[in-house]
Amino acid sequence: MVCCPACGYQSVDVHKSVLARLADSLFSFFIRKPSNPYTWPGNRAQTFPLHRAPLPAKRVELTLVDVPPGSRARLAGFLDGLPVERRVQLQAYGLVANDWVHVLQQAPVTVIQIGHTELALEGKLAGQIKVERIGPEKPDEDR
Amino acid sequence: MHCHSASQPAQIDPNGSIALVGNPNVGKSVIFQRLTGQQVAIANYPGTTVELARGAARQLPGTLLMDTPGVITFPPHSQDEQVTARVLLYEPLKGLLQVGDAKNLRRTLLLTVQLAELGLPLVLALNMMDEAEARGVILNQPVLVERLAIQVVATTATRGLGLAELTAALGSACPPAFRLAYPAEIEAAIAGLGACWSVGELEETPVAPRALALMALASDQVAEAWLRERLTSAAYEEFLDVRNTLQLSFVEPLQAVIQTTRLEYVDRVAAEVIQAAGLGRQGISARLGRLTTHPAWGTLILLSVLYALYWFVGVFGAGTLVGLLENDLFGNLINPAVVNLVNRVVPYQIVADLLVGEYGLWTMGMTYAFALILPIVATFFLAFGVMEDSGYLPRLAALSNRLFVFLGLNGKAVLPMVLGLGCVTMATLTTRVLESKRERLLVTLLLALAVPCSAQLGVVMGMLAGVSLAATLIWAGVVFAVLLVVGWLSAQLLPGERSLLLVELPPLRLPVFSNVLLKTLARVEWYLKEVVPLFLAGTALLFALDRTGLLQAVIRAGEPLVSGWLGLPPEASAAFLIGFMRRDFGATGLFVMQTQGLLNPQQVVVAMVTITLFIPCIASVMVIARERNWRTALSMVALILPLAFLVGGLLYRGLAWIGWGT
Repeated sequence: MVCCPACGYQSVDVHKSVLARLADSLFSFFIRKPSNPYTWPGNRAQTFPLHRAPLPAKRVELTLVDVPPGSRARLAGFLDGLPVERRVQLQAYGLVANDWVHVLQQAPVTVIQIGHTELALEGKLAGQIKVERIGPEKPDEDR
Repeated sequence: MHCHSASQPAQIDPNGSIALVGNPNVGKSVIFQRLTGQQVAIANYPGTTVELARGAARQLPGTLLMDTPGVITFPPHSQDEQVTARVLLYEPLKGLLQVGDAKNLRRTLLLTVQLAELGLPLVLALNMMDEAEARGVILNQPVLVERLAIQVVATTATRGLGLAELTAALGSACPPAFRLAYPAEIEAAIAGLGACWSVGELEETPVAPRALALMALASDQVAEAWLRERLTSAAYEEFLDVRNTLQLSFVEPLQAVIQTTRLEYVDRVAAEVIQAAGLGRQGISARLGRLTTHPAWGTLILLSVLYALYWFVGVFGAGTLVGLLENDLFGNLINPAVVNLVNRVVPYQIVADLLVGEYGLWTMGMTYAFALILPIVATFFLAFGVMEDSGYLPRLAALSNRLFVFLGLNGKAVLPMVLGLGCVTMATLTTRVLESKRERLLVTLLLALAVPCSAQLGVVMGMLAGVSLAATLIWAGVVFAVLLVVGWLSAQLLPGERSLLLVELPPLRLPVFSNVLLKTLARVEWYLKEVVPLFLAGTALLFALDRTGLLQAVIRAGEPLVSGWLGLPPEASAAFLIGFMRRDFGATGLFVMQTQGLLNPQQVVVAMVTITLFIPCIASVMVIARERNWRTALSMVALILPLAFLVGGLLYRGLAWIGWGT
């Protein structure tokens, strides 16, 4: 167990318990975790805060997992943590800043359409792709 | 020291091959097949080509073509992409044929730029032109030719369109006069490296020194390994110094800087060439495609597909067809005639027994192979061919991702796992499409442990269908549970992170009947070549053991395990013994025992679970050793064998405790 030094609240350290890790894996199999600590994935307009207190002044990046299915999104690049090899691979597939992609679905994985290509990306990976804006823009606005 | 002309290749071998290179799933293998007349595995999903196929071009005398695994971009990411990268550096090549998807021009061009930089004669086949036109894509081909300075041919390979022009272009291809300008610092580093690397060090590759320098600066592991093998340690250290110093000039990693330069160029060319981008996929195919990855509808479709597979292979193949072949054809017609003939012609009883006795090469080995296994594998390969040509398999990767995340993998692992239902040996090779060594090892273990090949699956389905649906569910549930537990534990024990899913979903297409039929026949032929010798060897072994009295000794020795622990009749020892050669051979032995009324429903389920979890076959153990190493292969065998008997014994006790199937 891990204990909070401030309030004494205990939580499980899943890295130190095989059973806890098994349970955690089972839970994560059935329940999709939010893409960031403050919002559920899905339409931004429908998101709700998990805390009543005001959020810390931290800039939350909009990513592909935040784009509702059926919408188009203009890409803004990648989050810093994404390895360069993966970034280069995504760019080769056409995921380039300022391009529009069409988000087809968000579960069980994120499925997007870029040009004539359909790609399926795991939520964690889609959460690394920054989005500048979301909108039902027409295809002729591309680039 | 000598300086090369930067863009010219070090050595173009006039007797070398032409390599077909391109993104995955763009039709390279179809073009290869059309140009050489050779049949290679083709499917509507990426990763079909995991090994190189070579063949003589029919219309280009003396020219060898080489089909390579698809590559998205260089540096390569997976083991199969590395195969392609190694072809470019290590093989004597006289040219390249890039096959690109006409619909996805930007992605195609990104690879074209990298291939053009290699300095080898290059021809671009813009394939799938029919699909591009159907979607309203219009390309200005003359502008493309002008910008890239290479020959570009529009093709629709599946219908043979444009292939004559392609052959002519290949015959007259020249090294492209193409040079993309990179930032000044990178250009200076390339010039510096070109000046340092001597002729002798570079003459073994057809690739231009400039391209080699760019690959190495972009941290291409294949290029790095190639340089390490050929440069002196001082020269290699100097290269590393140059790269490290160059990196200081940029905020972004060099790989990203080089890629950005190429992307900007590709964008400019694409903007000039694409006159109409066309509409995305629409219609029934697109809608059905989306349903197949929908959480609810996708699962329903998957269950329907599995049921259809069960019915076609298990009920029709293993039931109806096997009944017709085993009882009517072999049992009533062929075998009596052969037995008669042998007994009349062969004067020695022992030889006659070897051919047509209880453990006879014909009455057991050939009958098992042709009457019992052949109809099952043929129906499975037919069904599998339809599934793979329809483009359904990559959608399974998206649908099953969460399951594989639980196993420390990602949904891409479903491709080798489903292929394993066809043949575990082939599927072990296909693990090359997975990105990390850890993932390849995990999937190899799961394939060897809990994925039955088509032959075995058919026998198992046939036997269980003869018992009850509950028997099938118990078997499937136990095998699946073992797969989950072993997979999860292995994922926890094996160090390393899993990679995140990224997979292209090809359009759903109506399978081409001729292609499915050709593939089925090719696979059945391959199966017969692999299986029949093993079946005959297994039968001969049993015959020898029987004659020497050792079979009874083996059965007696196996009795505590087979009868005491698994609760099976002692004769089942012989089935497990031949199961060491092939699981399906062992399963067939148990099938015959069931038809003779020697197994009750409980014993059928226990026997099927145990033989399913057995080591797959000698051939797949050899492939595991080749792909990984012997230590890994033997460790897997050492884990799998006791586990199979442990699970079988526990199941026997569990079923006996609840009183099921006695």
